[in-house]
Amino acid sequence: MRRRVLRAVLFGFVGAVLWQQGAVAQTVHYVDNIRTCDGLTPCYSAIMDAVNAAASFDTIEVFPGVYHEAVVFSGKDHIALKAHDEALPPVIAAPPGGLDAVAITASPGIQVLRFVLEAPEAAGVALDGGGSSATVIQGNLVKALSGVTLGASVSCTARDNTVLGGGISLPSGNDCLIERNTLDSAGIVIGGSSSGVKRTVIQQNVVRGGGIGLSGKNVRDNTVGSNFVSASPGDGISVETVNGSTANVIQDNTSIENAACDINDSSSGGGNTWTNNRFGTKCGAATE
Amino acid sequence: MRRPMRPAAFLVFLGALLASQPAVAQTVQYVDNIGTCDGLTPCSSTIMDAVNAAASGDSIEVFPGVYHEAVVFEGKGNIVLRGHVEALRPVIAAPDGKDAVSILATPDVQVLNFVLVAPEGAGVMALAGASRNTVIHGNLVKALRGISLAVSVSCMVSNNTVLGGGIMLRGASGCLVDGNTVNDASIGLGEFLIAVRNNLIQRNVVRRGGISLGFTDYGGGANIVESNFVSGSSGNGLQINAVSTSGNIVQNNTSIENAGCDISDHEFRGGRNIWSSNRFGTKCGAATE
Repeated sequence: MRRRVLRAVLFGFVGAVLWQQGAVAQTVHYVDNIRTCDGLTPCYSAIMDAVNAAASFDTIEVFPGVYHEAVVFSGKDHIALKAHDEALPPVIAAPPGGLDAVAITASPGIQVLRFVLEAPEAAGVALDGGGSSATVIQGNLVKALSGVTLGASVSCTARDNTVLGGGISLPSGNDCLIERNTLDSAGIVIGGSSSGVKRTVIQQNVVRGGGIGLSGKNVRDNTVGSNFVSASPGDGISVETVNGSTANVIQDNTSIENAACDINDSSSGGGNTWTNNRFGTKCGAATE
Repeated sequence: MRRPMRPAAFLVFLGALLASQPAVAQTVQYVDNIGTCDGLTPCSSTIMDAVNAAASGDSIEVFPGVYHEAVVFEGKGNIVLRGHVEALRPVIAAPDGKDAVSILATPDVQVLNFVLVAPEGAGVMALAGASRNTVIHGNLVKALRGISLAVSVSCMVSNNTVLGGGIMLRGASGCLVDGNTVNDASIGLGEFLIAVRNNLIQRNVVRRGGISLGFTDYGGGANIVESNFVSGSSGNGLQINAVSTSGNIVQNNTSIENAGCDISDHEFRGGRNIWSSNRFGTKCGAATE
């Protein structure tokens, strides 16, 4: 009797799980502006047509090509925008007029994977404040005036991108991960907005011709670890935080041959921890 | 009819190449110009000191830092030069007029995971004679002449990001150019008084540049260009300009928005090349589908 009840409960549980999964739409939308998606459907010629058609948890796969459009996620959630062939990232070239290649507004769970993002007058990816969380920007080549701009982000990830100019900025947010990016002629900027940045990890990035900077109010409990910074026109790694900012950890980094200080802590409140960094010059309270 | 070497054959060959090296790997030489190699020994402060000290089969692991030197491998084979921490690529910044890394008549040299800067030279230059099995992998290259390999046999250029300068193989045979991202530059197979054959160029992304095969016959042909994405070239996208060669295969590529022709074939006095399943806007010459 007990065995029968257990079996019934188990079937009921499995059935409920399968029903829930089935209820989540998981359509793959294809985009191809040269051919017809190798016969795969639904097939669109513009990325924005696919974005408009996509529902939550859908995926958009883009065939190799140059897409002259500004891709905007507004009020969408949980959509993965990715290259159809991981080895061949399509180009999203933002039109003139100050447009971003990809803009994300009030849209949680958006992923942008394996693209070449060009925006000479704006950002490769711009995340505007409010309602966007768990954004993932991964594996892209970004050549844009403002690089990757993550505004008011919660649990965001910027990983394995190559950023040529513009840099990566996170003016406010918490619990983000900025990891294994390569930046040339650009830097990583954390903080600047009054709400600050908390519990964010910046690790294993290679920054050439720029620095890593934490600044402003309420920038606390962040970790800057195992990055390599060189040839910045200013400081290499700098912490210049004020009100409510403390307990940032800067460790195991290499910072060398920067025009100003290789490591610099001019925070008003102190309380940051610097340990096991490799550098030439230090300023302020940056100690070892 | 000789068949072109297929990707599987390349993989078998490269697997054998890589597998054979640990068997003779000996000392790890460390380089650090900021600290003291975390106590690891032997520890040199310049890469060239480590190169000079290295024996065949050694590895050289370089700590994060900026190394202002021209690294030269000459007559010293079977050496792996790599970043000590894979994610933190050290910078080799070539002095004025120099290449960041030169490989002269030296087999089995590998250059892995560096930032190579050479505003007046090449990021990696391999010159004629006895340089084979060269591996250039995982580097960010910012150099006037990018990666330039002459008379290379069984080389591999993979997963590099090349900003300007491009990738040029002259007189290459049995080489693999795979998974590179090339920006504002091109990939070229050319001639250097030796057959250009059995090379495979695949899965590269070339933005504002093209991929070209250009040579006359010294037994050349049977090269494969496949699954690449080319766009924004100021000239042609994918092109063959050759004399008396045949049997090159160009397939499954995407070439679009180039100022010249997206695909172009001007093969003089040769047999036919094979063009199939490419995605493009415009075509010229004998480039057919």
